[in-house]
Amino acid sequence: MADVHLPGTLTPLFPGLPRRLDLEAATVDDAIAELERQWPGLRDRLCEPGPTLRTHIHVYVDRERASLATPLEARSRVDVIAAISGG
Amino acid sequence: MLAQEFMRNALVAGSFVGIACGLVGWFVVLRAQVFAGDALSHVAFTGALAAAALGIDIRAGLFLATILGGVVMGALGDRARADDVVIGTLFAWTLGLGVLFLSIFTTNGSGSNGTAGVRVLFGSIFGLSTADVRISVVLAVAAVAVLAVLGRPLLFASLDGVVAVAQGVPVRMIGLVFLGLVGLVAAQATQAVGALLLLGLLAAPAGAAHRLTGRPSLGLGLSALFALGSVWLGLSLSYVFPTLPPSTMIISTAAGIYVAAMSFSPLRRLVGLSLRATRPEGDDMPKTLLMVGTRKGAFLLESDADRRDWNLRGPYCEAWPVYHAVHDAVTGAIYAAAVSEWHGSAVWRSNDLGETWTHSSEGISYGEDGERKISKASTLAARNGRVLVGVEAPGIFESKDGGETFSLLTTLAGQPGSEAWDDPANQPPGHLGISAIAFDKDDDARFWAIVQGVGLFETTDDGASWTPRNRGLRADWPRPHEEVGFCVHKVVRSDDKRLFQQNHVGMHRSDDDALTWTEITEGLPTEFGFAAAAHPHDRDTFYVVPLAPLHGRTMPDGKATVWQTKDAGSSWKPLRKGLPQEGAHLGVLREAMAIDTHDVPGLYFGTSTGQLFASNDEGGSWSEIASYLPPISSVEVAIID
Repeated sequence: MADVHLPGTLTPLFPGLPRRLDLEAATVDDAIAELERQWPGLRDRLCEPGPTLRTHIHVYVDRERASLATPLEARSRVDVIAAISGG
Repeated sequence: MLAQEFMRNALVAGSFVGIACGLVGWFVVLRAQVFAGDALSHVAFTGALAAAALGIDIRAGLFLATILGGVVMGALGDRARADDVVIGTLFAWTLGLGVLFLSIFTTNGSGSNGTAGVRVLFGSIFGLSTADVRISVVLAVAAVAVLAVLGRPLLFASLDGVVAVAQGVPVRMIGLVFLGLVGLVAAQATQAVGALLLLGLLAAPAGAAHRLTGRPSLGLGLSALFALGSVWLGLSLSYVFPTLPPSTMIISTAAGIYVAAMSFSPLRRLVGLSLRATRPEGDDMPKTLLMVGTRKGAFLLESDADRRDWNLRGPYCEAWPVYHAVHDAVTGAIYAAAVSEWHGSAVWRSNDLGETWTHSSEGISYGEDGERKISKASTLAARNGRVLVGVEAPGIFESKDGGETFSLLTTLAGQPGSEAWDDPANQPPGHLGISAIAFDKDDDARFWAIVQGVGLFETTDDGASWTPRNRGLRADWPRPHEEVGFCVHKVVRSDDKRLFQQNHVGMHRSDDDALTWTEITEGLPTEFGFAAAAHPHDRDTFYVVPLAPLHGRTMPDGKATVWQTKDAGSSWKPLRKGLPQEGAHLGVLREAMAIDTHDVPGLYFGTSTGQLFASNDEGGSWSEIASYLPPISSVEVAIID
């Protein structure tokens, strides 16, 4: 189970979405797919065509900058960050 | 009961007293001068008793005292709107005098009229002589005549005294005359219902009318009607049940009407409905709603048909930058095209006038390969449950399910210029792609779309095929294609054939459905601008906000001005009343001006520094209805049932 932490800008968009949750996933992409399954439309808030992570959405797996393809360990911590975007 | 002379007298005098009270009372309530009316009732008491004490006609004392009292209160108060301290002081002092006169009067024992005190306090409508009736009629007619002359400036002075002064309305004098008039009517009403109760006839019917409608003409009519009804019903009840005093019954009826108006909201709807049936223009609908898109979310402002006081709500859409917020008149839904720096583009929607919101971008995509990307949802058009979304890179998506899901309608592929407009080098920061979509008046399959920096295109088959519509437009630069290469900022439609266009270089007009364009810039201070609006009822009247060209893009000379033509662009007139004329370097973006469809249309514009200005008289005068919003990108207006 990966320990996923989501940005505060995301939770108000999807009723019931918590700031942190446990997900069974092999990669970052898988984790996002699982989120999409439970909260339809969520993937489009984090990813853009490519497919790739949106420019200002940064994902860290165990404190290392990650991409969609980054694998997750059984007890990985995943931080999804809304990066600085100006005023 | 009409066989009795006292009853006939009471009905005739009461009717005229009622009408006068209803009409004057409407203004008393509007001007929040009910307390002044109350004070005048005490002045009435004192005046009448002074006359009684001196042995002269009570009526003389009554009228002299109330009219004088009204004028004195006005003169002592600020701008002839007597304040509470002045009224309170006068109030207590006159009542004290009244007690003195009562004591003189009763001590001297003018036996024949020993009940004068009680009569003055509670009225004696069944005791009116034919002469009293005549006086009542004459005074009521006089009061109505004064209101007929004074009505409009009084209304103006009451609603916005500062602007009225600025426009040369003698606000102070009008206030004095009005309080004199209130005194006159108070004296008259004292005879019917007495000094203690006259306030009920001045305030209750008028208060009920104000609760039911904000429209002055209707309100005045209702107020007079309620007062008249109170008198008639009150008198009838008192006649049938002789133990019930007439003044009590009259005031109880008036109070009952007020309570009913307060608690019975369906009545309000009924009044609205019957009005709409008689006035199909629909300028009396209860709610005018402004949708404001800003850099930090959407805001809503609500007012009634008078469009004077606005209630601001927001920010909505989680404060995402909103490029355009619109209303679908058929479904009642509000849509907002928004672009989060983090989470991308989406269309937000609210089906309950902004109470709750949700968002969707399902289907707003050119595909997962990423060759063609959507940087923003720039503009919206919503009609009959269908939502069109203009995006950058240029394309239009549509939703047929009220904004839940979307599909690609068109990219205008194959149009001249399309080979270049996906090139990032042709997309400077702020590029909007499809910057505007304008529906035909009737035909849902026909609409125009602006491709920013390329030109205007028309489809008559719901986006399947397109034709450039730029002939005759000015362009001060070389163009690779004859049909495109124009910088169209904003297109508005005035009727079946006529369109106006604010272009990067000049104002233009088309009288043949955009087949050809003619420049109409002459008379405007600059050729540049974004926002424009077409009068909904007059095809020759049109509004623009010219801006300094080049980098500035703010109002020339720091004077906030909307320009109006009433002759389809042959001549232009600046509209400045109420707009800041010094240091106002305001920018107004493409979608940031709107006009409503009331009989007398309201105009609205928002600035890129967050001020929102409104005019409820076609641009004749303006007021700032929001001062500190985030930068405003769009303003739209809807009239809600």
